[in-house]
Parts: sequence; C-alpha cells; structure tokens
Amino acid sequence: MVENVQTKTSSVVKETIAKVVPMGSVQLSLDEGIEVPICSARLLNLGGGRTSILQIRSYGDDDRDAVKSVLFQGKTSAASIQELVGQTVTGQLFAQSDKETGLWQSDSEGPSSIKILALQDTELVGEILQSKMVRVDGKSGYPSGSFRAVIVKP
Amino acid sequence: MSIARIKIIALAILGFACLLGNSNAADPSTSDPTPPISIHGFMEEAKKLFAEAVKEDEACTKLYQQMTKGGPKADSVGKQSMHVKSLLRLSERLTDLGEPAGAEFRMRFEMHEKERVEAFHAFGGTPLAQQMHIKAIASLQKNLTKRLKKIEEVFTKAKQNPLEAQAILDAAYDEYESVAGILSTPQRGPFSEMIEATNKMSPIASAHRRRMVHEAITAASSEMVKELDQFHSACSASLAGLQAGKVTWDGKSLTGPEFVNDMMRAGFVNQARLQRIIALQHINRKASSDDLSFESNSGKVPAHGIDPSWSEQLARLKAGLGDTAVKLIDRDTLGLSASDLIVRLGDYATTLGKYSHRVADDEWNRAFDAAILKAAARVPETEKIVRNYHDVTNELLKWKERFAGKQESILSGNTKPLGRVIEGATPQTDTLPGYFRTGLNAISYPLIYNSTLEALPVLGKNLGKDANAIIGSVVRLDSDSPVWISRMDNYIYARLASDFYKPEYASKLKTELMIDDSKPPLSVRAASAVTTAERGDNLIVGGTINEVFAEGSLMRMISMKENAAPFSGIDAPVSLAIDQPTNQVSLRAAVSPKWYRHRYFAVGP
Repeated sequence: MVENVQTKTSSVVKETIAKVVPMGSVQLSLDEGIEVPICSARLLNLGGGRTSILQIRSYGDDDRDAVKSVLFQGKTSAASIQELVGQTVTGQLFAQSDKETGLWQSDSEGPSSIKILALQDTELVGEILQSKMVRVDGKSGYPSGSFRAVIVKP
Repeated sequence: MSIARIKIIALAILGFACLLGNSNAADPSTSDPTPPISIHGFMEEAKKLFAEAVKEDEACTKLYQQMTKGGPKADSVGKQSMHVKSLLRLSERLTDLGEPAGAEFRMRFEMHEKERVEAFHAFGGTPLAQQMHIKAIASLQKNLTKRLKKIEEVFTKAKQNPLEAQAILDAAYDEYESVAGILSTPQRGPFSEMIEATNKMSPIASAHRRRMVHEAITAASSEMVKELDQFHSACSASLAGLQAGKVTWDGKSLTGPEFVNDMMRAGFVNQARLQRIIALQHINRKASSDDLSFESNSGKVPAHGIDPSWSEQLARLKAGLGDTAVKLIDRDTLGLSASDLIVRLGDYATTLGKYSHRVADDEWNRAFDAAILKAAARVPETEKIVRNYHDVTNELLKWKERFAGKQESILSGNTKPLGRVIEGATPQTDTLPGYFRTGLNAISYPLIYNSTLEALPVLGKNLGKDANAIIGSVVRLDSDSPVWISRMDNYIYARLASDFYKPEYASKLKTELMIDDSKPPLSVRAASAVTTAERGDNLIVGGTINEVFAEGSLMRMISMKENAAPFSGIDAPVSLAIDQPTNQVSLRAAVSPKWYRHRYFAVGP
C-alpha cells in the first residue's frame, strides 16, 4: 500500500516538472564565452518571392538590450519546424559579450551556419558550426557553440 | 516703394533659385581672407551697395599702401578720408538692409580708419600739408554757397524720395570730404554744414530703408503663407479624390505611390522656402520683451525672437506630409487581393523610403511602418508576411546599427566634433582677433568682431595643415547632387569633397534586406536603409580640415537653394542666437573625409 502511494507521488512530481516552461539556452565560444539561459526560434514565412528565415535569438521583446546576446538569421526552404531536423542553415550570426568592444558579426566573406540536430518537445536542439566572426575592433574569432531554442509560433 | 514693386521682389525671392552660395564669386577663407563676406541680396539695393563697398575698401587699401611706400601725394589724405567715410556709410546701409556683410565692412572701416588717423598725423606736420590746408580752406569758402544750396535741394527732395536725395548728398559730400579731409576738426569749424547735413539725412534714409525691408519681408511672408495654404488644400483635395487607385495632382492622374512621391518632393521644396522666409524674420526680430518696434504677422507676440506662428507652419507642413501619406496607405489598400496588396505596400515602402530619413528620431519610419502593418492586416496571409519581414529586417538593422555605432566610437578616438575644433582655434580677446569671444564676457556662438582679413589668418594658423574633426549630420542634397554638407552645429558646418563616398555597401545591404528589382522592401525602415546607403545620406564623417570660409549666418539661411531642405531640416525652424542677427557668422569647413559611418555600416580610412 505504501509503495503504491510513493509511485503515485513520483509520477505527479514528474508531470509537474515537465509542465515548467522551458526557456532555452545558447552558448558561443567568444571572448570570455557567451552563455544565455534564454533562446527562442521562429520559422518566418516571407511570402511567395522570398525564402523563409529561421531566426534564433537569445532575447525576448522585453530584454532586447541584454548585454550577453546572440542572433542568428538564415534562409531555409523548410516548410515546417519538423523539416528543419538534420538541416544545416546558413546565414548571419551576431553576438555581444559586453558593452565595450565585445560585439561580433559574421565575416562578410563567409557566412555562419547552424546544424539542427533534433526537435525535442518544444525545443529545437542544435550546434553553431565553427565559422569566422569579426569583432567591432577588427579582431577575428572562430567560435562554435550550441543551442536549445524554444519554438515560438510567429 | 509701391506694393506692386514689393510683391515683385517677394515673388522673386520665393521663386529665386539662388545658389547654395551667394552673389559673390568667392567667400573669404583661411587661404584667401581678402574677399568680404557675401550678401544675400534680398533687397535689390544691396547689390549696388556691396559693389561700391568693395570698391571703397580696395581704394582705401591701395591709397594706404601708396602712402606708406612713397609718402602721401598732395590730395592723398583728403581722398583717403573720403573713401573711408564712404565705406562707413555703405556698411551702415548694408546693415539696414539686413546684410551681415555690413558688419564685416564695418570692421574693415575701423581698420582703414586707424590707417587714416595714422596718415593724417604723419602728414600733418609737413610743409606740403600747410600749403594744402590753405588751399583747402580757400576752396571750401569759395564753394560754401553752392553747397548750402545743394543741401536745401536735397532736403526738399528727401520729403518725396529720401534715397535719391541721399545719393545726391553723397556725391556732394564726397566732393567736400576729398578737400576737407585734410583739415582737423577745429579747422573745419566754419565748414561743417556737410557733416551736419549728413547726420540729419542718415536717420531719415535709414528709417526709410528699414521700413522698406520690413514691408518686403511682410509681403514675402504673406505670399509664403498663401502658398502653404494652397499646398495643404491641394494635398487634401488629391487625397479626397482617390478613386480606383488614381489621384489627381498638379493636373496629372497618378497612382497613389506616384502622388506621394510628387507630394513629398513639392513638400520639401516648400520646406526649404519656408525656412528661407523664417530666416528673413530674424532681420526684424523682437530684441526683448520691451521691444515695441516688433510687428507680429499672426498677432502672437513672442517675448523675444520671431513670431511663433512660423514654428507652427513648419510643424503643420511636416504633419501634413506625414498624415497624408498615412491616410493614403489606409485608403489605397482597400479591397485588394493578397498578391496585389503586397505589391501596393511594396510600392509605398519604396517611395516613402526615399524621404523618411529626413524626419528625426525615426518618427516617419515608425508611423509609415505602422500604417503598412495596419493595411496588411486586412488580409491575414499578407499580415503574416509583412509582420515577418519587419521582424527579420528590424532585428538585422538593430544589430548592424549597434555594430556601426561601436565602429564609429573606435574610429573617432579622441577626435573632437568640428564645432569644438574650430571654436578652439578662433578665440576672440582684447588682443586676439577671432570669432568666439572668450574671457569674462564669453559668448558661445560666432560673431563678427574683426574683419576677415584679421580673423581668418589666425584661425588658419591655429588649425594648421592636419586638423582632424568629426562631422555629424552629413546630408546629401539629393540622390544625384554633388553636394554633401553637414547641418550646422553652433553655426559651424562642413562641405565635403564629392568623390569620397563609395556606394558598394548599398548592394550588400540590399541583399541582406532581401530586396531586388522583383522583390521590393515591405517596410519603410528597410527601404530607407537602402536609399540612404545608395546615396550616402545621413552620415557621420571623420576628416581633415583643408580650409575654412566665413559667411554671414543670415546670408546662408536666406540664400538656401530650393533643394536644400536636408540642410535646414523640417523638425525645427532655423534660428539665430542673438539680438543682432546681422552680426552672426557661420564658418564653413572644406573637409577631406578619411572615414565615414552610415547608420548601418562604417567604412574605415
């Protein structure tokens, strides 16, 4: 009898944990390292003439001025989030590690790429592939990183 | 002067496609300070007065050079006195006509007056001088009756026509002074009638000139108000007559975007003309709360400065253009299919993107993009597409702006803004000629304290060959204009060499914003980014100062070209800081750019 109560309690706790809203996360090996415990993904349809854009960003509408932040925007012909799994998406990567000179963007000659590894529940899991980025003072970097991006319906 | 004649002048001003310069061939500069500063020529007489003042100034200079080299000839001192006094009266008359050149000629007069006093004393003791005195007194005695008669005629004529009378008196005075100039004041005693006559005539003619200027400004002002009223009515009428995607404007049948384009062009021409009229108001401005001479056009009397109705006219123009565009987007997108709606919105975004950067603080970008989103919301599928386009492009532009801003900080280093660099190089003290008064009575804006001959060389020397400065608010007058200038910063501004800007980055930006010939932008913000990048508009520039030119601030503002709307801006009326607007100077730097920053990218040296 006691055993059954314990099992019931455990499954209630497990369900409760599963309903906590995931915030996502992203990390990028730039400067001292950028790690943000927030990350969302949007697949943005731009109509007939334009390829859709996969947008991955580490800030919501309320905290656009967060010091540590990352934005990736790349073109994809995927028609749905599911279709993204296994794809490599190429585009522009921006990152900020501090308010002084810690501001980075993809090198103009070579874009940045991300690889979508899996779709887990409401999160897109993936890697930021190593690519050349340029800092605002001209310094070069070759960061890589990873992300868990909560899917947001645009 | 008849009202008809005033009207002609006023209309000439309104339609006057003057140069972004002046009526003079060259402005004085640190390389060549000899030319005087230029006139705006609002009143026709100013041109004649200016030409005469140039001659008198040259005559004074030549005579003094002759006298110091070879010693004065018999008639030199008298002639010099005549030319010097002629220069003084011309400077006063130019000031009456609202010309800053008057103040600068006044400074040249003071220089020449010092020369005259020096020559007078040097010559005074010589035996030749003694002979000349005797001759002069005899001549003056002989012609006394003739002169008195002439004075009588002049004052009779002055009742009907003070300026003609003054001209006759001038000629008589010159004849007198070229003889009497060699005499000291006590020696002149019995022959002072010409001086008295001149002193009596001066205020009469001066009041007449100032009244003429006032009347001409009033006439030009009411013409401008009428034109603005007509413009606003025409915009409303065109908007109200929108039917089946067509609008009538200026006798033509146009699409909505075509009408918006033409309206904006006409609107900005009106802005430039309005700013010129506003500049004219500064000639008659109220000096202080107890200045009873001020006459208000609108009945609203400021404590000092100009009639506040002018700020209202400028604000009304800006609001009229913006509101018409917003309403048009709303009305011209009803009942369209999803694909037609996208095309229509793309047209509006492209068109408005040519103008939105001319209004500060993104006000028009926000208002027009909100209107576009609102129109898109009529068709759910279209709304999603437009909203997503805004999302993607706004994020991209935000990061690019942040990046360019940081690059700008790094490129700027410790370099100071142009205004500070020039101000620091031209201080004016009791012993130093300059444009910014320093010390106990420091004044923070540039005024005419010395002639260009004295002040500009000092400024040039202090700057040297390698003075670097940051120039903000650099605008290009039009998409194909060779002129890049900066907006005034405390009456100091720059003109840039026209071949410095490379539009290569524009095509990259276009690609990033997913725009090409078949895919128009879906936001005004994105369209504006491309427009300004293609043109090289709204830049911050770091460069070297090659040369600095002096001009009257009033002259610059009254003489603005009709395409100079970007120079004066639509957000605020042109202003002059002080109670004597004709004394205020602007310094224009010729700059060689080394690096520049567009809103969304920076290009290093």
